[in-house]
Formats: sequence, C-alpha cells, structure tokens
Amino acid sequence: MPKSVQKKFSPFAPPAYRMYVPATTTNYDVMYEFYANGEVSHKVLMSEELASEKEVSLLHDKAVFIKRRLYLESLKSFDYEYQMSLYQSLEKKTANEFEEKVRSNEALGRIADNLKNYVGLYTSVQTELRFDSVKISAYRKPIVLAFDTDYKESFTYTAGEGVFYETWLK
Amino acid sequence: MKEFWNADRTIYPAVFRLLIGLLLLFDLSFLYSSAPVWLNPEFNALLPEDNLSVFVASYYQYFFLIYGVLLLCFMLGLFKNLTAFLVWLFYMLFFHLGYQFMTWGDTILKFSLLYFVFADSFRFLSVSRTKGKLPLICVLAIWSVIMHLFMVYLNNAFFKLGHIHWQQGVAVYYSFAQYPDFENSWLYPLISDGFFSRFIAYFIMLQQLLFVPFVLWKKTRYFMLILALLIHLLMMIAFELWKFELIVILHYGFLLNDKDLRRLLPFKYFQSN
Repeated sequence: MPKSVQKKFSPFAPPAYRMYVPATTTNYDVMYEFYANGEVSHKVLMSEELASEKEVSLLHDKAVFIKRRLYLESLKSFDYEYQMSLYQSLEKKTANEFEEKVRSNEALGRIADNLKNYVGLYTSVQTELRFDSVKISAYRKPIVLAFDTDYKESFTYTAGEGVFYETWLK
Repeated sequence: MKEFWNADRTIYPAVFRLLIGLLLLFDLSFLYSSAPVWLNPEFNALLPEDNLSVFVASYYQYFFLIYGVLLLCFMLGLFKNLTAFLVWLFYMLFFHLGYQFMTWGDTILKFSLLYFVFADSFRFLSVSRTKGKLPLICVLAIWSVIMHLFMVYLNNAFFKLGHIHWQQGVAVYYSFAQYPDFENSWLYPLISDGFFSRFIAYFIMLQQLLFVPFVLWKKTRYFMLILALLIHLLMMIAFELWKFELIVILHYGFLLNDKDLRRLLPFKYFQSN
C-alpha cells in the first residue's frame, strides 16, 4: 500500500501501545529572564509558575496539565533531536548543528515558537510587567536514580545537565 | 473459559455509554476553560493549521456547545447509533485539535467509540429501549472493544519485555520521576527504594502479561480485575491522569457478562431484558 494512503488511514488503525516505553530519562525546565534597559528585571521558571497555578484550585488541574504538555513536555521531542544531533557531532567530530536543525525543521520550529508564545500568555496575566526583551533558556536534567546514582544506561547522561537551547524574544 | 465467549453482554454497554458520556462531558467543561489558550494560535504554535482546524478554533464556542448537546443525547440514548457516530466524529475532531495533550487513554477511547457506533447499548438506560435478538454487527462491536483491550495489554507487555529500562527494573522510577514534585510526594520513599522499585516494575510486566489469560479464566477473573483496578487507582493518585485511568477502568466492565453484572448490580431494573 502506498505510504500516503497508509498515513491517511493511520489514525484509524490501532497502534502499537508502548506506554512508558521508553520511559523518560530526562526532566526539563525553561527559564525566562525579562530584560528592561539591559538589566534582568524579572525571572520566571516555568515549572515553578505552573506549580503555583496548580495550587489555586483543583479546577486548575486540567489547565495546568494542558500548559505542561504544550510548553514543557513538548521539549521531550525537542531534546530527542538535540541528543541525535549531539551524537552525530561526537561521532563525526563536527560542530553540533541543533540550532540549524531548529531553524530548518518545521516541527522543531513550532516547539521553539511555543517557548516564545509562553511569554505572551504569561504577560497577559502579569500585565504590570515592563520589559524590552526576554532571554529564554531550555534546561535538561537527566534523572538520577535514587537507589543507583551511577546508573547511566542512556545517552542522556552523556548529553549532560544544563541549557541545551537558548533564544531571545525582542 | 467457554462462558467468557458465549455469555450475553447487553447491560454493560448501556452503563459504559452513560459513564463515558459523563466523563467526556466533565472533561469538555475543563477543556472549555482552557480553550482560549490551546485553541489560540498566538499561544499555541502546535495547533494544526488545516482549514477545518482553523475554522473550529475560530468558532470553538459553537463546537463545544454542539459536542456538549451530543454527549447529553448520547447519555440518554437519543437518536441511538446516529448520535454515537456524531460523538465519535466530534471526539476525533477534538483529538485532532488537542493531539498535543492527548493521553493513551484518549487513543484507546478513540477506537472504543468507533466500535461503539455499531453497538446496541440501548437495551438499558435509554429513553427508547431496543428489544429482540442482538444483530451480529452489534455483538461484533462489543467483541472489538474487548479484543482491542486485550491487544493493548499484550502489546504493552511485549514492548516492556523488550525494553532495557524495564528489563533492568528502573523504568518505574523514571516514570514517577518525570512528574513534578515527585521528591516531596509520599511515594518517593517507596519508589526510591531499589528493591521495591524493581519489584513493582517486574510485577507490572507480569500483571500485563497475565491479564488476558487471567481474565479469560473465570476463577482468576475478579482477582485480575480488582488488581488492575487498584493499580489504575494508585496511578490516578500518583500521576494525576484521572481521565486516562478512568477510561481504562471503565473498559474493564466489558469483561463482565450480564450474569456477573446482575449479581453486582442487584437492581430490579437490570434483572430482565
């Protein structure tokens, strides 16, 4: 059967269910630094912001869940491409071309756009905030097993902890 | 084992229609409050850009209203299979628009609702009840839901068996650790214990692998269903994925036949066809 036909009908075919396989081995977060006149005037860590929204009431749970999926958990596929790109650069001993990939790949570009869109959502609530630019830093943090801190059976540990994508909103 | 394949299943499809309709209606009200975020292309760059999605996103209030009315009709059994078809159509539409935050439960339900289009769930709990012999297609529709659920379990067990993190027993810790505030939760001391964490991982694999044979065998059926129910209730508390867990739990009812349900629900209403 042609691939185009397969793709069209794929939503109607029961897929292979791989719940939690592979399990996530990395946690993510995004730091927003709001600049006014060249100085940082305000900082927001997305995970903390979402957690504080959740404390408002149980009715906010779904809204926070949706925001987590849109802005934070979409970084899983972003990071997957980062790891692929890093792996290739280590193998071929060339520079990591992840940023170029983000610019040229539509799906990755949309995730990067959503990181910027969160600023609009945040400032639609925090209306008193004044800024001229925002530095956006996406963090990755490989999960360390509490009962086996030396366990490193995944490339995520080679990719390491820290900022893996940075962009500005001006 | 023979009784599992031969028994009548006319009560639970009606119960499922009512409960899943209620769950979807409840979820729809939450989705509506978040719609200004996820259906707004200014806030959500992942929103599909096809013409239908753009149109629905622009007039989402009307679509929510129609979907809500359809779900009410579905729960009441009004317009029978036509309503079931329209509910599935709207479910697919919302699935398409919100694919970024859909769970495995939503994927399972996508197929169950499709099979349900052909089911006769109107023998009970419906404003106009159907009577007489069940047409073959209605019987096959319910069997499709059951076979699909079996496939989910077997597939899951198969993929888990072949995955390094499950083989080494560390997948459970990874699964819990991805959730916010895990280190402050009451489950942390348990899951961070190596022996317990690994035990849970292997136990889950075994449970998924044995789900189908244990459900087929009458003597172990209730044990497996109660165990699966407890696992999903625990997951509901730990992961806060209430919709996913409730969808799976509601599917377990299909594994019970009319005789079982008449014993569990001893109301006069369910005692005769």
